[in-house]
Amino acid sequence: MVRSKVIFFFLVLSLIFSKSLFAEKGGREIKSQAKKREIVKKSQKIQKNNFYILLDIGVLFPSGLEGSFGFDLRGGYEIPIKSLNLRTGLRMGFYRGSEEGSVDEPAIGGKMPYKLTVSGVPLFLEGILIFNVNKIIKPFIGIGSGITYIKSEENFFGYSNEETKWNSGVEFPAGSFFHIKSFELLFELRYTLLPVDFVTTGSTDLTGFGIFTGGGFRF
Amino acid sequence: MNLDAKIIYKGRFFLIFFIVVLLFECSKKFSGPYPEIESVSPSRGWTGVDNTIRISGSGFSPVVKDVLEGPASVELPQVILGTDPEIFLNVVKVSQNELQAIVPKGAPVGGPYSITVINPNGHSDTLENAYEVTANPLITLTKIYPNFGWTQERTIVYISGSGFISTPEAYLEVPTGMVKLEKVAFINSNSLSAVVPSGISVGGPYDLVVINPDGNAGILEKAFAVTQNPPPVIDDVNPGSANTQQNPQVKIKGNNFRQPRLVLIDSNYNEVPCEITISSSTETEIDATIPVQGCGISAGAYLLRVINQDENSYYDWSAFVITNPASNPGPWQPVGESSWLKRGRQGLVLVSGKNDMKQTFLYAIGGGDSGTGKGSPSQIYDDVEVVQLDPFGEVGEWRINSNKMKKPRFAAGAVQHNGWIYVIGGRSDTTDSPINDCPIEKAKILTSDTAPVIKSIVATPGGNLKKGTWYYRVSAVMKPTFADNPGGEGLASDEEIITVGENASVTISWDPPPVAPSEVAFYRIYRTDSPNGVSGTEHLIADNVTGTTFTDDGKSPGTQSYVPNGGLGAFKCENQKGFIPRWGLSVVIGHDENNDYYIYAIGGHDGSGATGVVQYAKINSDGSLGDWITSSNSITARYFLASVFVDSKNAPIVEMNNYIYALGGTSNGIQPLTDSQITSIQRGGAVSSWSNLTKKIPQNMGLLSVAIDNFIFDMCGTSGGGNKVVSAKIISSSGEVENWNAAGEAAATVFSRFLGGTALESAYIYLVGGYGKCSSNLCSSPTSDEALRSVEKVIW
Repeated sequence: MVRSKVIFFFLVLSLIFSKSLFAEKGGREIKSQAKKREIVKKSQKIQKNNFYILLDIGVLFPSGLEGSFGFDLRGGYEIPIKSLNLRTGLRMGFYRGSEEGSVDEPAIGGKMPYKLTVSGVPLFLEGILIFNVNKIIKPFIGIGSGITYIKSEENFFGYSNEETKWNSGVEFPAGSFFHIKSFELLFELRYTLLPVDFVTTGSTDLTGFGIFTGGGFRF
Repeated sequence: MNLDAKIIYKGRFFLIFFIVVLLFECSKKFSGPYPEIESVSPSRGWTGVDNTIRISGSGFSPVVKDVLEGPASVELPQVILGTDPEIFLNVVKVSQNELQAIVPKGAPVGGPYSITVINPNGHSDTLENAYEVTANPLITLTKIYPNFGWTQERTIVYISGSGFISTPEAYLEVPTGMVKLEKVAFINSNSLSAVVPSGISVGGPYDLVVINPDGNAGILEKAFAVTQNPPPVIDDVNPGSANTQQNPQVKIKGNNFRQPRLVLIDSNYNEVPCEITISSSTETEIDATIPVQGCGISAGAYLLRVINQDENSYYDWSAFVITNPASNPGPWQPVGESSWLKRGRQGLVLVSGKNDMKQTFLYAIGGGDSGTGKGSPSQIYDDVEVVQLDPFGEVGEWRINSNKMKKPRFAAGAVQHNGWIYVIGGRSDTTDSPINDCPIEKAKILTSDTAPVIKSIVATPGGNLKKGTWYYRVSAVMKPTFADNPGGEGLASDEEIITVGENASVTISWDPPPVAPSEVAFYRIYRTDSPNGVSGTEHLIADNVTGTTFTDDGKSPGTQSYVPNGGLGAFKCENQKGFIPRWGLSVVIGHDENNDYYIYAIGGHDGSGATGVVQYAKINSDGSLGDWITSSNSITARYFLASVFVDSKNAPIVEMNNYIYALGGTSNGIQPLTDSQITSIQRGGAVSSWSNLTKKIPQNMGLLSVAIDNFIFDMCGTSGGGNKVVSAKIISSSGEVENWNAAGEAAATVFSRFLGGTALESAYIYLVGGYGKCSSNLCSSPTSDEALRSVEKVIW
């Protein structure tokens, strides 16, 4: 169900993006040569620093897991659109969280502890709209989607049971860049939708907010 | 392509990628332990009942599921019986090396079927031809006694049938499932005992199921009911006997009498066809007439059963005794050799007692070996042998109590009161010196709350235990400060049974004994010597275990056994202030008109010769003894005498008086006496001056004596004794007796016994040990004179 909602949501979003960003700007629809020149000029100006690479770390608050953390390596290309900038790029990361507790089951002799560790390696394509408030502060909102390699490892009853799968997900980052010449700092609040249905985890989302900070440079 | 086109191109690619990845999802992988089945036990079961099977192997791995979705719960491995269609069995117990699952009642007859175990991770293993479902029960169940229990109380039951193999499991089938009975004990192939736990739903009668270790089972339908209200309890029946020519009016005192009905039950547990008339009843008292003569009831021991007709709960008083008119006991019945003492003893003491579960036991205390002859042992014993009696007085197998006396004792005296056994006087060596250091000691009959409770037992791979079934028990040794059992070992836990694979270890954990969890010094672990052993044969494998967990990796067993039911706690020296040490004395317990109880030590040999001193000490409410008071009233100096206490219970003729009789003995160790003296107990325990009975007993010493139903019996001994029994009837409230008469040829004991032991328990007089030989053609191979192991009994 969650997956269906995400797909539907994304399709709608895709249509919006298509119309608002690109249909109007499609090659056959550009009528004003002056406008074309202006865009090219802007692009050329921006193209001085239109590649970026970024490293961030953060904590995540997915439902159920305690003490999750993660880090990402991001890189991509930035292009101007009107007064905005659009970043498209790839994000690869590593997340890990664990949950400890105990269960009471007479058949195993009563109460017994367990530890569940869930880790993920996401590979996401993301699109970020950057608002050029001034030269330094660059708030942004975005969306990303991709695949995540998820591993759930449960230690219980003297045994370790492990479940793995590749799964798709979507994320909604928001925050701000702070540009200092070619360098930039990042503060980001990210909401991630990542459904899982392992036996050990149950059918649930590793959904939740994460707070990240990091830095990188544009070139 | 210009820049705009590039942007558009990339933007669409971006969208397509988004959609594709959302649809992308690989199949899941679940990895973890692989189960391996080594064996299934039992390998067959009857379809008429639920059967618990044990699957031994490795890699049985439950998982916790829904940890993030919540609520987290355990998913157990699945067990599938390979019938067509397959049956998923209910898994009730899981360890890494063993699964227990239930093959449901009604499983299709046939097989052997395969058994498959599937871990939650999907890995599985199958053992082909593992389990057979049989059509017919191979155990026959005929009776459970009693056939009810109060829901708020544990109930000891005896199960009769045939085909039992050590050690079966027993269950009651209640609406919510199978309730396992506790402490199932294999008595023989026709008899089991068990404890029905409290807390079972009121109702029934529920079906009783017994399952042998090999899987053969039997069922007794509508066998056991659980009552809402407490069952009746009889505390006293007076008189407790009658002869065949009487129709006695009896007064029954007790509790919880509700719409009562009275019946007599014979030794086959059949109701005697005789209408007992109740003239009046309250919740605590019943007056009734038992028409013994009217119904033509023959001599013997009977259970007097009071039945509450509201729920048909009942209580059996063991025993109402019907004697011959002359009150001549006999004939004496030799007990089978399997129920003889473990070793011959002369100069021992025999007492009877009950534990908190109202099971009855005999205790053979001390004594000595044959030595150089009668009354002259070379080795004197400090141990105690214990044996359980069934409700009709049948003797079980004697066991040496693991807690020994502080001193070896020959020719001591002993009494039992409120679960405490007091041993008084005696000598420890071959000299005439009495025991001066710790002349009095006592021990308590251990109660069920002295046993730890095993709460888990788990097998793990690695170790030296061989494949098979092992039996474990745990006992607690108390701190020296624990008054009831100072430094002594308590009863062992219920037996726990586990089946393991080859080269395994077993870890058990337990709760401390409820009686005093903080007073435990350490624990002892017992286990059967070899796999697939016999219940009850566990030996010590670990001592001084601290904590409440132990792992057995295959330790070598010793020879020490656990303390059985009815066992005694540690002996400790009791107050000896004022006591004059001596041996060959006679000890009785008596009470005054206030029902304060006293121990009387009468006569004996003080090291220099016979003495006539009479001493008494009060038994305090906590079991301790008051200081010993020497009476100014002595008897004729003598030792190896006998004495009995008489009150209105065992001799109604004496009315409210309380007497002590001192009989026979010797003043020089050679010449038996005929002295027969009587005294009365005054308020405060003092005795009046002793007077000689007009009718003296035949010459005798080393004799045994009991008082029953207005009669005093003089048994065995030497000279005038041997294997003879004489009795005298008390004929007045002053305690005077008629002539001592030989009780007849039938009353001669099977063995001659000098310095034997005797105890009166319910309907029987028991004779144990002593020095002598078989004097009857009942013995297949007559013995020579020696310290005897033999046991005999008679309905009085």
